[in-house]
Amino acid sequence: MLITVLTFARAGHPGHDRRDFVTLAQLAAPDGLVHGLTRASTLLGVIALCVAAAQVAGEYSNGTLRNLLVRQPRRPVLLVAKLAAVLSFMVGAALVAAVAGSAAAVVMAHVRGIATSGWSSATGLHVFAQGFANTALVVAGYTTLGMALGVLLRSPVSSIAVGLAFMLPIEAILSAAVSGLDRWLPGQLLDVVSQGGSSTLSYGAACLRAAVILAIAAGGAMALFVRRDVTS
Amino acid sequence: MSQETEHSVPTQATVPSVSGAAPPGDAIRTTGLSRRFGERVAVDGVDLSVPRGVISGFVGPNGAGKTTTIRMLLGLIRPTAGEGHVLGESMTHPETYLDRVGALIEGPAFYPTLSGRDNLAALARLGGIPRPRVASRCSSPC
Repeated sequence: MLITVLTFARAGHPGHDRRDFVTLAQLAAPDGLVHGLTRASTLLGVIALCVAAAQVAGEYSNGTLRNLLVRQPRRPVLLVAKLAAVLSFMVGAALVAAVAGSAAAVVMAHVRGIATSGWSSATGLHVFAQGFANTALVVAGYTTLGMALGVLLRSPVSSIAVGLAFMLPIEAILSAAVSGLDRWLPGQLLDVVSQGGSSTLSYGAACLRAAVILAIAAGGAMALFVRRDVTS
Repeated sequence: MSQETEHSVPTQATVPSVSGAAPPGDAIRTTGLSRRFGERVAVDGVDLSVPRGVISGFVGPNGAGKTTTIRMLLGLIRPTAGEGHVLGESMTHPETYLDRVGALIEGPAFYPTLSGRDNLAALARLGGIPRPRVASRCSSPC
């Protein structure tokens, strides 16, 4: 909601020439409502990564994993259920954020004098639904990565620290240092997914590559979770 | 009886083990149960037989491998060698007997962000106790 408010508050600000600012005309377009949500996708994803990593790694560090495994010894079932629980929670949180952000957008549009008729058109609703679906995919991706890190490192602090360090500064540095590498890094790919594609990578290709990377991460986490002894 | 005398975990209420299938009267039976962590041998060829319907103690000094043995029986740790049966079911398939087993390993483990009542409710739900019964028991004074 805050990002939506800031997006609308800074839109068309005179004298700025930064590319990440939108204009008032862009916000009045049918896709104007999703600008805030799209910008918030990465933040929602990072939160999802932190929640998933803390939830899974916390079971190890608190010793509660042994309670769970004594009652549900089928480890794949347990991990999938855990992922589904965190995923549904985070997608629900993203839905709440989308609704709250939309309410804020309507208020801010009124304040800034932006026409909102295009938002409720069929095109506008379709774009909004697609924007939310992309955000949900991004949240799902970050949740999967957080879960994999939680299983791998077994410590909430370590999992979150490593996850944030890799997804934010390290990926940015790698992308800047090696040309074309950004098209193979999960955080960068999920960013492209949230934007519905980019000039260098199509939406479909970004989804496919992200899905492959996430499947590898999830598969590795599952294999580790199933085979590793629970000694905590 | 070499295995019986060589294992590193002294036990009480241990009766001589038998080879072959687990007798229906045994709650727990292990044969040559072993676990190594790298070079360190935590459990070394334990032959253990605990009949059903008896109260048994499993005692030994620190580091003898008691907890590791129990964790193996609960499917939390894989044995390096040997085999075991719990309630007549093979240890390799803990899902076949763990619904009939209660376990408190070392200390209790709780979710620090939940209240004591919510932790008890979570454990009860894990045990398959119906929600209304959980709610009534957790709301009544201890």
